[in-house]
Amino acid sequence: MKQQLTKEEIQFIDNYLKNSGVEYIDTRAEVVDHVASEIENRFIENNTSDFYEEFKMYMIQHKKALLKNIHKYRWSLDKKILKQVFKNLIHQKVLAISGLFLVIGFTLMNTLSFENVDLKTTYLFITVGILFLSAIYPLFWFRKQKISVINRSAVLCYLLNYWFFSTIEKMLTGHLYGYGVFIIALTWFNISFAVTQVNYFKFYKDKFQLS
Amino acid sequence: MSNSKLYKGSLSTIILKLLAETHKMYGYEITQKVKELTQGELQITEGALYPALHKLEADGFLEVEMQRVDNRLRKYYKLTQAGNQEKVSRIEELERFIETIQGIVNPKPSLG
Repeated sequence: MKQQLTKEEIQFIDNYLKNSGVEYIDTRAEVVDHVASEIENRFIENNTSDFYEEFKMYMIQHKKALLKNIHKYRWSLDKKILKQVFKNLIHQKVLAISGLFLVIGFTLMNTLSFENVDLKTTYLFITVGILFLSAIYPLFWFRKQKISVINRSAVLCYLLNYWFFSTIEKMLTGHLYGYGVFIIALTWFNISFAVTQVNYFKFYKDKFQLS
Repeated sequence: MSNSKLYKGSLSTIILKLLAETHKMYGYEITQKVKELTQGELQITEGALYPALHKLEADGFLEVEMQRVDNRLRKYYKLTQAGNQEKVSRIEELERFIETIQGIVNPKPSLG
């Protein structure tokens, strides 16, 4: 009597859940394992090895409960990401890169006149560049297999920058030092987002054996 | 949880307690362990278990580890240091709650 599901059967469960709206592979992996474990348990309890029959019976009984809370996962995920981003703000790597940006900024302000260098544009360019790297690159890498934490992290980073450029930036126009402080803060957060994304990227690339 | 609303508020405490006793567990394993310990009286549904696990993880009480087992990925949960401290305070809280309810349901006869 077989007790373990084959690769094809696991793939069947995965495809079924994907078609049922569980779009992220990291969320799906946990649900696939749960369903597969239950079916394997039923093989033993019911003394059977009919995968499709057991799968059908399981889904009739549990599909609603299984999929009900999948989308409620988002707030927990956002909280987890934001906690990590705040934690990374004081990470040595983030502090070092942010410090470097700060030194470059002050050097630019002290050595070059504002007529020659548009400081605002330079900083905006750097900030947008970091945003691009942190938010867009991992999304591009995992374009075929969506990973919830990578996608949400990119969305949160985008929202932060959007909020800054749509509200704060307009409020501070003309206040050079206030503007400078906010640009530094935004750059600092963007670098923290980038480091957080790189860490998630390494973790999931390895675990899901994605190339 | 399928049985009662009374159990709902204790789900996180149950998870923390089980994980404190076992080094690491995966979702299905938790449901089976609870079923076994309560002789089937308490059955945790998938819809209740995973949001609770994800919330505990987001709060920093659990950390995850992923392993490839039997042709699939398995997500194991482990208690963090903060999770261990949280478990102690939640168990104390639950014990006080049970004691209070016990006092209402089965009041001790007074001598006076």
